[in-house]
Amino acid sequence: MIYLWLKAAHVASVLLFVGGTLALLLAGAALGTRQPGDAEQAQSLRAMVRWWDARITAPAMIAAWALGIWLAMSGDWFSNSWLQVKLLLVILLSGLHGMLSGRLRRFDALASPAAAKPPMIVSFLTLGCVLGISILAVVKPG
Amino acid sequence: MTEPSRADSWTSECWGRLRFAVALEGFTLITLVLVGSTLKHFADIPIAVQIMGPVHGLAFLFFLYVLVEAISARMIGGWAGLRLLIGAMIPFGGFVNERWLARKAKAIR
Repeated sequence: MIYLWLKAAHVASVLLFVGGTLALLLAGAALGTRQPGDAEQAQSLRAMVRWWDARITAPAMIAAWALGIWLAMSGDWFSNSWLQVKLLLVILLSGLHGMLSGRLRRFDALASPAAAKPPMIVSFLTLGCVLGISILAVVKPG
Repeated sequence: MTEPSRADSWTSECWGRLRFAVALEGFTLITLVLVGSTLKHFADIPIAVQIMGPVHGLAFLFFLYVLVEAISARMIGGWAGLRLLIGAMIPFGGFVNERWLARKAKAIR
């Protein structure tokens, strides 16, 4: 029974973490394509996303890690190859979140708009990690 | 006297977090190497390594996360990041780097 509650809490944390990371990506893209006269709107968007990141996304990431490790220990899955690959993808996704969060903090509303836009490879890597993690968690191949 | 701006408080929070991550990683490494390994090899008590191993692993991952964030935010450059990374693998290196970061943060403020 406790397993199901742990799993539910882990899934909820992961959804919030992934949602927040995608919000960071979108905010970066929106800030990167803003018009010169939109400085005030850009500032409020950045403040809002940063608030969400600090209060929701980052704690959700920590909770997802803690609950995931707890689940893996309870199932004794650390020796399984699907979990080892999934852990690598989770580390990469967490790193991408750190990078996006750092980039958002670097630029203020007056900075060059193009510089705020995350490189396309970051979007592909983020989506690829989410896809890979979902498949490995559900299918558990190997 | 002017109140500190939001950017100032954010900057000091970021430096504080980076220093904390560096010190935490250094502390868990020292505990693992000096206490855990000593107990395991000289007294045949592996429990300290079994506990401190995963704790240090998590502290190292937290350190890597904060390091990536700090480099992306251009708080520190690539060479400083490399110095922190190398220091994280050497016992007491984390403590030296924490003091170094404290001086760096003070100089910037």
